[in-house]
Amino acid sequence: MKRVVIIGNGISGITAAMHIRRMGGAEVTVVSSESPYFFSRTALMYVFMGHMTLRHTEPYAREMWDEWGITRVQDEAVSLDIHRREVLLGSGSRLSYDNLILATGSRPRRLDVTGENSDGVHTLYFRQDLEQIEATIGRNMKHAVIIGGGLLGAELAEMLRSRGLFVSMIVREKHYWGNVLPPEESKIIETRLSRYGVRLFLEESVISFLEDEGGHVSMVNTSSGLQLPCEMACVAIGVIPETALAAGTDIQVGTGFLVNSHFETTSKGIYAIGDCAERLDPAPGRPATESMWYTGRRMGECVARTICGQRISCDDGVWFSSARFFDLEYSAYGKVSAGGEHSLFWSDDCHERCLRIQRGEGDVVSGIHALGIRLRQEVCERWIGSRMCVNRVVEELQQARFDAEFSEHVFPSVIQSFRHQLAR
Amino acid sequence: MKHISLSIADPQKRWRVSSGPYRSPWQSRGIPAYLLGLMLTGFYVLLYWFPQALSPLIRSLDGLSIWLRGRSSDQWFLYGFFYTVAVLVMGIRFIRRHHRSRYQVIRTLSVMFFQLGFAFLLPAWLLRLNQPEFFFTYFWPLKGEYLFPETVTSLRDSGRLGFFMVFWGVMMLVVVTPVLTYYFGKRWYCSWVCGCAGLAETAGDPFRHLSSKSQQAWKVERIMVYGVLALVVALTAVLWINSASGGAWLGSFSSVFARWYGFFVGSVFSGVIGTGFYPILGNRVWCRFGCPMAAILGILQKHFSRFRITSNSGQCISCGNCSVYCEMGIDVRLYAQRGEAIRRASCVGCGICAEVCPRGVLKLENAPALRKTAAGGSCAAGENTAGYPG
Repeated sequence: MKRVVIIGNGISGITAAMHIRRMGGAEVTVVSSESPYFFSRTALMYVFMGHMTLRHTEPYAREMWDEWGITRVQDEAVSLDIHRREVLLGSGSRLSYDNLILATGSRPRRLDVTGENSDGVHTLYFRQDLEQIEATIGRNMKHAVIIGGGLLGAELAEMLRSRGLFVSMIVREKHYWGNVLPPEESKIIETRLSRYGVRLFLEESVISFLEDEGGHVSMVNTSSGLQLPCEMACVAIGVIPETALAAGTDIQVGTGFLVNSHFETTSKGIYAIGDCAERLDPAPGRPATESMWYTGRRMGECVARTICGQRISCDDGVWFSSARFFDLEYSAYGKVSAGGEHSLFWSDDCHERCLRIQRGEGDVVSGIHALGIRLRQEVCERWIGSRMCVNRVVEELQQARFDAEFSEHVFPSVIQSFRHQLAR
Repeated sequence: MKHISLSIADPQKRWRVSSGPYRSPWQSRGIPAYLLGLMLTGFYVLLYWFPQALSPLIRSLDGLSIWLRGRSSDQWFLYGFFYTVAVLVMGIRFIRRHHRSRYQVIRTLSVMFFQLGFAFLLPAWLLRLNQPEFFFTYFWPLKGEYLFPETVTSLRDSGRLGFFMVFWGVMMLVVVTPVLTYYFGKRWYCSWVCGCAGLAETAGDPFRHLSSKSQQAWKVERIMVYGVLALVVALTAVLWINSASGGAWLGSFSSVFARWYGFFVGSVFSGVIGTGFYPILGNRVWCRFGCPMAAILGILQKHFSRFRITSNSGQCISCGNCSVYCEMGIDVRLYAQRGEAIRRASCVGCGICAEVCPRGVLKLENAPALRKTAAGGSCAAGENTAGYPG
């Protein structure tokens, strides 16, 4: 039987492993140094906040892996020997493969400024990072500065606020998550952050960290001359693909391992999926690398098919994303322009929720944004996928309602507002 | 350079971010949790078997009891009083915590109303009017004795109201329960009306995450809950056979059976373990493993109901909040990450899974038929979101 080795047990690698086993295509071994069992990285914040234990972050019971025939190896993949088709492990042993899937993920991007290596300057990515943040917090500290205004930044803010710390956020953009969100959406998130006691500093970037005599961070200096005293800083400015394994092989690397639409790298029999993959031919309007749970999962499904002999091109489907800023839920389907132009927009009076429908060419719906409103994904996907006319989307909007029973009916006023905007 | 001092206390009132139960020893099986469990079980042991030990407490409620019921207090009045106070006080706590979800607020007001009105004041008032004490929100088989020959005979003979009570119980079981369960699932009873649920959802709420999610627990649950149902059905049948034959066929067997059922199921299981073990086993031990009413409602819900929890296609990030906070021990995530609708006999429809989900994946629905998942090509979401192999 064909032997498949997967490096990385995140959502991409594990999805691939499970689908290959389901199709009965091969023997599967998954290598990870971080954790012997698949866990949900997105849940680490809830562990920190005491909403669950680390064990709860494992989506499947531990005994299932043996039952499903997925071998797990907790070890570091040090290098590849592509001629002998072997993975060299940190323990010195070797794993041979017929097909290799690189699902090595990414690592936190660094600021590269002075003082970044001081004690108390953290990132959050690995399970081990939680322990380090916990150790810093144990020092009876009060002030934390978060650098980066994206999804992880907001999650860190929520985590640290749950321990009662004063939290400041330094954001490079003019408005929150400005490279993704139109200003109206940002405004709603900014309002929510400040209600939860987060101080936002927009259009700022960090130029250095100062440390005290003990080597512990004591101050963050920004480009405009702000000095923020703190005992802790968290850098959350995105991730970069983890591609160290390409060294000494013929696998070509751009920012990530370069892959075609079948997730094949330039080296025969070696595939790359998830955060670490860079697509040579991304779908129109999509970035070449995408560090997202959903994208990784879909890539895992697709690569499993390829390896099991169904070599069909991966259909990316209608793009979607979701996030949460404290208790404010955000979901996005399709493409919404970050400028917010040519769209229908509704928001309530108290800046708590909004809905945006992007009007594409020919006045068909090309994207939907919702903040504080739950939408039915399958309906949004159908509208966008079938290029439905915006007029009709507005008339059928109720179908997408996914808010809990008895929750406030915002849809009548949304529809009314959209009709007005369309009539103009 | 601007030097920003961050320690200025901000005058504006901030919204709080609460930390979770695993940071409190009370809620994560620490020593205080065991002490609390010991206290609660101890209270039940005294209440059932050594009520004289509680007599100072019982006597202290004489005034209230005479005012409400026209007679002096007893151990059951004391229990009812404590129970109702717990539901009301902890109900207010629950509403404060979940005030942003109208479903949770309305549902909690409902259990508080039924506990105070139908399980405390109305029965007291009936006693005052020299009518049989009757709980209109409990039916056979949860309140097994309501269809035992002895109760039925004494109610029937007590007058027109007593006759109505028997009629009420039968109608609720045979007509109202199937109809409401068809439209709304078992939640209409198990998280909106029932008093056991009232206590579990309010006083038991801090312990909801302690329910076991293991496959093993699910197996035990099915054996036990249907086992208790079989027992109470058998007991009721035996009692009627015995009563019809004037005690000729079964002799004292049926009364011994009834006594043992009352002791093990009524007192030990639903009381001592069911409530006393809240801080150790979670708040729905009785509802999940023992309640025969829940067993019947569960069968109806699974096979003859429009109720389900819909998963929002591929939006699940497998974080596990839904599973952790399911008081019935359902591994909700297992369904959610496959984009599958959840139809489980044990689901009481409390709605907490949908509320704690950070990605808007879950929704409680009563819709008539399952929506078809839109197919969007070879890698479409829905049918193949990270599922099981094999």
